[in-house]
Amino acid sequence: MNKFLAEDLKNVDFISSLYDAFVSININKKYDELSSHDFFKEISNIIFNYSLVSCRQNTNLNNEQLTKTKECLVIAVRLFDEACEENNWGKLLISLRIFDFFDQDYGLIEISKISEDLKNKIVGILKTTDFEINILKNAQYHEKRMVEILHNAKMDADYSQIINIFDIQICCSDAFYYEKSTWRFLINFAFYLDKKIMLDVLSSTNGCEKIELFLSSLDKEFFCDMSFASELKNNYLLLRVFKYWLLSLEDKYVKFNKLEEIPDYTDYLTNMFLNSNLHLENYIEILRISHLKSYNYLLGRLIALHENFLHIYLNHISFGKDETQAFSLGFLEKTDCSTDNAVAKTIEQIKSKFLSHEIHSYSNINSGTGFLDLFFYYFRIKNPDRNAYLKTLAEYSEKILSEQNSCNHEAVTSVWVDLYYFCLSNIVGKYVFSENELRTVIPALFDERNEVIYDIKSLNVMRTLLMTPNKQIKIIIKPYVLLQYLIEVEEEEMITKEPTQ
Amino acid sequence: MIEHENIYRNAKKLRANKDFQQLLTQGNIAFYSGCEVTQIFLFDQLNKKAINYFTLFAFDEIDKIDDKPRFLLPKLKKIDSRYSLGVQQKRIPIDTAKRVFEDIQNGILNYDESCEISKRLVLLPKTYVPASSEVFPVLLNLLLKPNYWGDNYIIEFFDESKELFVSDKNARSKFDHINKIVKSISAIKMDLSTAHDRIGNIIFQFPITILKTKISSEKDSVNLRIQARYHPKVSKAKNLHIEMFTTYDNIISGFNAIDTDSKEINNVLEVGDDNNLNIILSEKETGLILRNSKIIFCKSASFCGHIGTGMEPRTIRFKDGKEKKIELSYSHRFIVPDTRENNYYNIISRRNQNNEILLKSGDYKLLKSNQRDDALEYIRKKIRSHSNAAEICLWDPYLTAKDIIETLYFEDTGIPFRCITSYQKSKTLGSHIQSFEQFCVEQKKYFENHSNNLYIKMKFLAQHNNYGWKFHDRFLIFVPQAPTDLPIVYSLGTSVNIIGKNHHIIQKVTNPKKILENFEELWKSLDNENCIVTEF
Repeated sequence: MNKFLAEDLKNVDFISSLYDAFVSININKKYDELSSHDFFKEISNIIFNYSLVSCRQNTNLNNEQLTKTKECLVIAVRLFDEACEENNWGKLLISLRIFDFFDQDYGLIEISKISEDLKNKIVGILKTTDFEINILKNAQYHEKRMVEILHNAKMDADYSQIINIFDIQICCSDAFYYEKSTWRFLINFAFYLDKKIMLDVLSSTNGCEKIELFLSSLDKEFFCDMSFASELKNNYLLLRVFKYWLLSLEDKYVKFNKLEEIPDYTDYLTNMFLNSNLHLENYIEILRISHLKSYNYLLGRLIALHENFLHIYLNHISFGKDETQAFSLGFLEKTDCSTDNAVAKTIEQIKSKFLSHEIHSYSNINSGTGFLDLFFYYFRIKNPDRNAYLKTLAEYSEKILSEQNSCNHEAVTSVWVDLYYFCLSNIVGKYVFSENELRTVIPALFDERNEVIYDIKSLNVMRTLLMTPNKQIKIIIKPYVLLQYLIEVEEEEMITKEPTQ
Repeated sequence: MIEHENIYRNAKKLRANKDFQQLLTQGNIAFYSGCEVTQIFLFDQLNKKAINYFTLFAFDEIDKIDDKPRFLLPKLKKIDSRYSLGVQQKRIPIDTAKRVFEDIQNGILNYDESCEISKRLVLLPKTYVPASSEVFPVLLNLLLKPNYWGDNYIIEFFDESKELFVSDKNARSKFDHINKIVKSISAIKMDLSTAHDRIGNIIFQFPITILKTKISSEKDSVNLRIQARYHPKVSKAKNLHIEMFTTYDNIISGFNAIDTDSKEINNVLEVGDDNNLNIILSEKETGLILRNSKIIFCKSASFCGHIGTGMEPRTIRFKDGKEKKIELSYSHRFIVPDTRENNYYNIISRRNQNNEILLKSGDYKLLKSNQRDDALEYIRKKIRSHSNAAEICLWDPYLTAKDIIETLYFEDTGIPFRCITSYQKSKTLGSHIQSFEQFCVEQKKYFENHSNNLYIKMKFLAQHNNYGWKFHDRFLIFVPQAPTDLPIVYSLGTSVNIIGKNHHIIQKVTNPKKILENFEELWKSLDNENCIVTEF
């Protein structure tokens, strides 16, 4: 938008102008003279122009503005009532547009008043309207190319490409902005009126552009109801609804740190992953959902109950702290103590993937990983008492010696990293070992030669946790590296204490 | 002569036996408790006996002993009608290893089952084998077991007879076959194809585990830090001599040495420089080297990135109607850390690099018949990899628009091109061409019909009539940005229009400056409106 125009518009008392605009149109009289389409277009333009000011949300209204806003809404309610009484399509549209503009829900109107005729008209309009992205002749090369790729992808039913274009190119560039603001009020009202109307509309559409426009216009709160509807058959629609559904969970729960309050969607997820026509797993990367906390949390729950989905998680795992923490939370929440062996097997596979990632990405010892609780749980299952713990330490010692004497030394580091997490788990177990005992069982921990290969502070953390687990120590997360050639990064502290579960 | 040989053999044998005792002495270089034998042998079906191909006795600090050998090949691999290959591993006690060492000197190798060894094995004294690095590979390490803690000593029985397959016409292919099988065994990682001079030998390996060292530069390029920690079984620190020297441009640019008997070694030596560091750490009492390395500190790195322009791509249309799109990009080169281009180090480095180009090129592509696609791809790859060049020149007497499009047009960052052809030669490729003007029109038309010529900066000149002088060789020239840098020039060996069709070689030339000078001289004589074929 032109910078100067924006500045000018900011100074306009937009509420007053809007009110004046309604009055000047002189709704009762002018409506008879205009066709519904023209009238709708005109009022849409007025509102759209004010929407551009984008100060609707941010402006503190003064009393006069508040009064005029209320008057606008009173007009809207009156128009709605008249529309219902007269079966007047035009008045209905204006009324809904005003509600949408002021971000009002439909509590002010009596929804039951609306006639079947008007309902059918809404469905008819939404069903018959079609959208297709075409490019202007004078568009830049990359825009032309993008549309060409989109058309080819549509012909080949290449959903990955279509999703990619919509997510990155079109939505980010706000190419839909005008269309969205034009249709949002009708789409949301239709869903509010009767969700079946909207499902009916969506299930009857094949156009990707229309699906994108409708879904991106729809309020996120509707997605929780919509995702499980059996009417949805179109694979593209299912994929997009799935993503929007997760985004709605992010907004509703994750944003307010209420991950645990997410309802149980195990059946829905199971159905989605088992849908052999959909191949949801193939789209996890392109939908960019593996970094969503809600997705990880729900998958944690799912895998705790159905280990056969583990490969899907491992193939598209995101190792960020938040993601791994969400997964661990979901997983441990649904873990059943009676199936400890199976649980241990599952965690073992996750741990193995994590260690491999830690070594091959040359990342630092990651005490901040969200998997810590998961690993602690695993170590506790495998080492229920002090003797078992000591035996495992001896096994680590054997492994280190064996790998040091093999022809490939790469695996030694992996064993050390694993041992680090094992020692860290003694925060929970709190088994106390004497130095002599440890020197016998795991001499590598006291072999000073390792201090010039590995980070001495990491080695000290391991020794301290095994000898004085009750002492609270500060573990500096990240900068202390196990491999000597790694780069130090900014410090973060973790004080050793028993995790709450 | 034979008498002299006997003298040195006996002297070396005597010394090797002393060395064997010294290296096995607990606490000298390690605390060995076992020995792993890896034996590669040929089984002679005719005489029903095993023959040594290569055997490695690697001492280590693991107590475990094997009763039976482990076969690393599931069954003997047939090499020919008489011989089969076997590879086995067994852990034996130190005393057995000592006995075997003596037996071998008497012509017997028997630690499990008897195995025939060469009758001309010469026993060599201990040899120090530093650990390999990417920059300084040590060939012998391809046969040894990697030592986690550092370097190795070896004592070697060297087979001077090399009598295996000696009268066999197919000896080479048999050796290749055996070495390939051995190399494929991941548990031992032995490469006898590279270190083939060791076939028939027996090596005793003594890994040095007594201490672990770490060397780092103190960032000022003057001081160097050495840290070392001893084996847990070492009760008293050793009296060590540490010597460091650095070299640059074949001169010793820094030196320092210290003696230390501290248990925790953490010393900074003011060496004066940190280029090509050599370090020797030895024990004064035994005279044994405990660490020797050559270290290069990576101080800066150069990155060259291509960033897409998002503009319409350059198109090239081929004979078959297919179209190739060249996505155009900006090239961006930066050095981390951002240092001055002209510090003393860079100036000397550049001169050294230039000398290397003059002495050896080592960059070539040998082409047989029908390898046109390979040849063109090789040239295009070279063009794309020189995106920091100031100009690219193509000099070929048969050069036409088609050749330029098939080669230079694949450059995607908009580097200017200069091209020279010979009208007399290139006109023969099109029989209907009557005049130079007509030739120019045809060429221009070809460029227009076969590409959109986007972001092409090119001048195409032709030698004809009395303009310039006649030439024969074909060159691809990358002109550097800095005038003091040497250009990079490839001799194409044949004209671009038939490149890769018959046997020829494309190679980097060792006297590029002269070629560029000649090109410039000819260019100067042709750079007028009478010789321009086309210009974009």
